[in-house]
Amino acid sequence: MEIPYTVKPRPDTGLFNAKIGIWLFLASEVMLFGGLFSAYIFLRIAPEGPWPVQVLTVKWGFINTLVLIFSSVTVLQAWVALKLRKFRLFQVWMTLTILCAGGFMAIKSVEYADKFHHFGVLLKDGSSLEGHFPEDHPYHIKFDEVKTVTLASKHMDKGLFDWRLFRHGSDGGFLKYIVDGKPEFKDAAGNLVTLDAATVKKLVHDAQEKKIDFIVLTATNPLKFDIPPSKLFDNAYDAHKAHFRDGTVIDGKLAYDSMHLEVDRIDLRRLFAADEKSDQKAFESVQNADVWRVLGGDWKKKFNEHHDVELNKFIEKHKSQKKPQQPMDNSDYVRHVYAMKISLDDSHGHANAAKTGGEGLAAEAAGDSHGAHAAEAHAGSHGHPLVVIGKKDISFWSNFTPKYGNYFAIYFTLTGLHGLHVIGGALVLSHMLLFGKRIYDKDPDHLANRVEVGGLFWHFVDLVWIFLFPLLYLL
Amino acid sequence: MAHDHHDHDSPEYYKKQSKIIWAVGGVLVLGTLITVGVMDWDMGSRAANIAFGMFIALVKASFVALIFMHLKSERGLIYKVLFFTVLFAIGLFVLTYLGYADPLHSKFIGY
Repeated sequence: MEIPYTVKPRPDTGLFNAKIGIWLFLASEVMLFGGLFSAYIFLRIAPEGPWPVQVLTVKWGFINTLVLIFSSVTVLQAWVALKLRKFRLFQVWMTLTILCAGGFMAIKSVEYADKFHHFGVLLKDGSSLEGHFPEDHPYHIKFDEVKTVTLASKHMDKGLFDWRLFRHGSDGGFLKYIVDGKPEFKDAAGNLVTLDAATVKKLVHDAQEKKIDFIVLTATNPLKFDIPPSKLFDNAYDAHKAHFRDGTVIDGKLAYDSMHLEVDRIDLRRLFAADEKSDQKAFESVQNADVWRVLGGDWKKKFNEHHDVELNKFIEKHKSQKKPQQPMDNSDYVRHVYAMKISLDDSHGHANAAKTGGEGLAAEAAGDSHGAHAAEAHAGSHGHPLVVIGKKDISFWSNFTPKYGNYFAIYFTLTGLHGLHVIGGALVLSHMLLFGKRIYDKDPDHLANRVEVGGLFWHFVDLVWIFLFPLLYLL
Repeated sequence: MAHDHHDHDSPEYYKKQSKIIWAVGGVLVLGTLITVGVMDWDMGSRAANIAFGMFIALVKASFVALIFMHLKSERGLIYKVLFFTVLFAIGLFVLTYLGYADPLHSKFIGY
């Protein structure tokens, strides 16, 4: 049976079926994105701390905006080509549209990867440093003289429908982080055991059968571990023990847990009240910030000079106003001054300010396993000063992911959902490109209608980005 | 898919549409350049920058909706659907704002 009104419009509404369908769908999409934009506004008018502004790379957002605009044009040209009965031309424009979608997602993945490798470190007093871990010195927790490894074998209760969200017992993953020594152990009965992943799994399985919760193994020779913090439970280590996420516990001696960071920005805005009116008071409140202990006195001097320059510029700019605006009433001034970008090659002629701490890293400090004293910054490999931060100084750290704050939570939610729409739209348009010939041969207007409807969805995707780009990248 | 309902079967009409589409694309690029260009202008406050940025975004969105999505000459049923969509979307924003302003709490509890 032929479905009516797929090509010709229904007389009473003047619309073909798919047109009504897509508009109802787009109405639901408006509500979906409306809810998230609403959440964005809510988070921004009552932020948990200083709202990050212009922390994304504008260049990538700008290029992606142009890519989406161009794709909106090309999808329409594909539709026009069908109306003009030029199928080859339709194929060209539709291919360009899909290539644009691919380009958009490729750029998005570059941006996401950049965020995953960019870190923020909140110090105990509330001041923070942002930057990258040096390539030759990723943040790892080092343990020496590990003599005991305890495998977890406790059988967890079965979850709903017998699903288990977490592994029940050690999986041998910890073996990858042994950097010195062979994984040879003796069990409680004195039997020699050489561990690999399969052996660990067998030991755990056997222990579960016997309802034994833990297997204690003693190393024949002390081992050294070098562990990424993501493999441990959050901060679940002390001077003698480290707890892996699979439940394995190692006993030894904490050798090093300081963080090396190439700093590209400091943020001092948490050190004074959000509604602080006096620039002088704000300036005074940051003079003893923890960041100066980490970065060194030269950077404090540099910040003070930067503050004076910016303050004078601000006063000069606003002095002609009848009632000159106060610096602290201008969030751009506060951001430029108190969330200062850090670079070794700046325009104020202080390029060597950070290179005065002598050779090598002061806090490399073997024997200072808890980072007990401050570092002087030194040149990193990307034009940013390299600092060493002791664990005792860190209140919280994370890469630029939702964990770091509400801004990145809403950024990833909105752009992630938008990206899924780009992928979905590209798949639908690809189907029309690859399998549209049959419909075109039967009735060109049928395919044109489909492309029109697919195009409406594509324009909606563009429409969402029109608001996302300025909100997330620029403002 | 900009078209009206009078002569949309003629090749001339679609050739003209093709040119309009390129022109609107140009306007959207121009709007983007303006948004990026003025983002750091000192307009007195960040709120003013946001308002201006959103105004440009609104203009761009209007071009996309009216021309690309042919809402400038659409059927009545679509307008009815969109009227209720906008109404509910505004309600959504107002509810969120009320969650922030918390007028009931401040009126009856007093702080």
